[in-house]
Amino acid sequence: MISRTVLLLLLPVIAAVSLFQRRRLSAVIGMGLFSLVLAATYLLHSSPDVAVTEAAIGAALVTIIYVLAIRRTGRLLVVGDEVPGLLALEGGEFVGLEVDILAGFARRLGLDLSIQIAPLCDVETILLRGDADLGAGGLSAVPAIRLHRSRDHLPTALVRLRPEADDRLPPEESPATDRCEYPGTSPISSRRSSAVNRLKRRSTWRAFSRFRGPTSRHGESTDSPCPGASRSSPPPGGRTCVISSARTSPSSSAAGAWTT
Amino acid sequence: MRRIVRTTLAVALSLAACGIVIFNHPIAEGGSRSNDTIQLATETGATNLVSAIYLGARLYDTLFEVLVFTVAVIGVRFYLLRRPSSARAAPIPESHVLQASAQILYPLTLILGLYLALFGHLSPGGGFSGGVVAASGLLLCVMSIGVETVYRRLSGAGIERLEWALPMVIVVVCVLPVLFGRPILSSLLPVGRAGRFFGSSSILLLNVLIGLKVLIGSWMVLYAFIRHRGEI
Repeated sequence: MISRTVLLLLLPVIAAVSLFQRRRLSAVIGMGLFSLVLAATYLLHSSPDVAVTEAAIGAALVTIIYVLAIRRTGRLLVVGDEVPGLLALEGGEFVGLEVDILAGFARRLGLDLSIQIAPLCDVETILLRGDADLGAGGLSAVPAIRLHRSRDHLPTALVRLRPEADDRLPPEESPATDRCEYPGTSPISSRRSSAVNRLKRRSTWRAFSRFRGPTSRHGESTDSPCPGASRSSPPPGGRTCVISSARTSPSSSAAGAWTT
Repeated sequence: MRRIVRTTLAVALSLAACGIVIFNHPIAEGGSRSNDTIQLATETGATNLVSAIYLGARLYDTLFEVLVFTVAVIGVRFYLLRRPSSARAAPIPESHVLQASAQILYPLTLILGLYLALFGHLSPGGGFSGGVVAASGLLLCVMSIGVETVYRRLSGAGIERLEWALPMVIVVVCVLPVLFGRPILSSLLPVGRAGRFFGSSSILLLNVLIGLKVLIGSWMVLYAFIRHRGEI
């Protein structure tokens, strides 16, 4: 008698908990748990046939179907090239400024972040094909990009300076911010910092606020600048966007972005 | 640390829930049975009285349940067949853990479904739950060996025709007693002793037919989801 009451009281609690889950997978698992407890309740109320059916349909089949359904829509698929400082794989983990922004973005949407590394030239193709929801990784250098861009968010710039003979500093005087040595580069000298500042002013982030997230479906994408892509196969996650964090000035010859 | 505490709490709660169910199982107490239920069991030959009711005394309702399921399958397929096939979408790779465990689990699940359908007139179960359990087994099979392989082994479109034919077969089984001078929707095959496997052959036959119907119907719904929405 007590056990029946306990299980019956547990049912609304589990239902409420799974309703208030932000992450979709947690909500689906909560629903499966609800079905399981419901099956146990049926069993205790002398109806094993209904319990078997409830366990088979509610806890197994429907849960599996929901999990399959959110496998694509429940995650934010990001594709991008590796850019040190913005989006980089370090020790099996993605680190960088864009990764932090994307992680916060995904958390707010209740999605799981999934980052895929692809060569820069393939990023646009993958996005237009609908295999990813978002592009990242210093996409400024992509020519003739036909996708939404995020708006100005944070002025950043990654620069690679060509070493000159009189610029070389002794190792002990090199700035602490430039500990990582990239091939073909040398530490940024103090005399070059004005070039860096000039680059910092040229960062662009557009249309970040226009990104609707995975709830928006392909029916709304009439104003999309990439009509061919969104009509033939709408991306399951919603509108295709590009997160663009660092845009360097193409006129500055001394420095080039890492994406070039 | 927090993770460990959470996991321990979840395991303890699950064990407590299992304990509650096991120690309070009403079947273990062996409830008393009234004369009516004994009479129903002898009339239909099925000791599982739920089966005896919904495949014996109330077969008319079950026919419409089968019809509802068929309509649901038709609806899903009608709307999903309009969508383009998502064969182009890159498949999401399965993790090795999932693949290996699905490979172990799917024969067991299929056998459990078969058992539930075959012994539905003697113990809890029946065609509907057996068919759904077997469909879950097929889904695990898809996860381990891939959807197109399973589709080919089930002979693809042939099984769909079988799915449309099965409701007709079930209706024919229900109507056929008329030919032997018995009322419609009554037992087609002779009733034996209650509690034996062949004690109620017509309920056994109907359970197997309904189980097959539900299995193929669920498989077709799942396949349509996989094919036209690109899941798995």
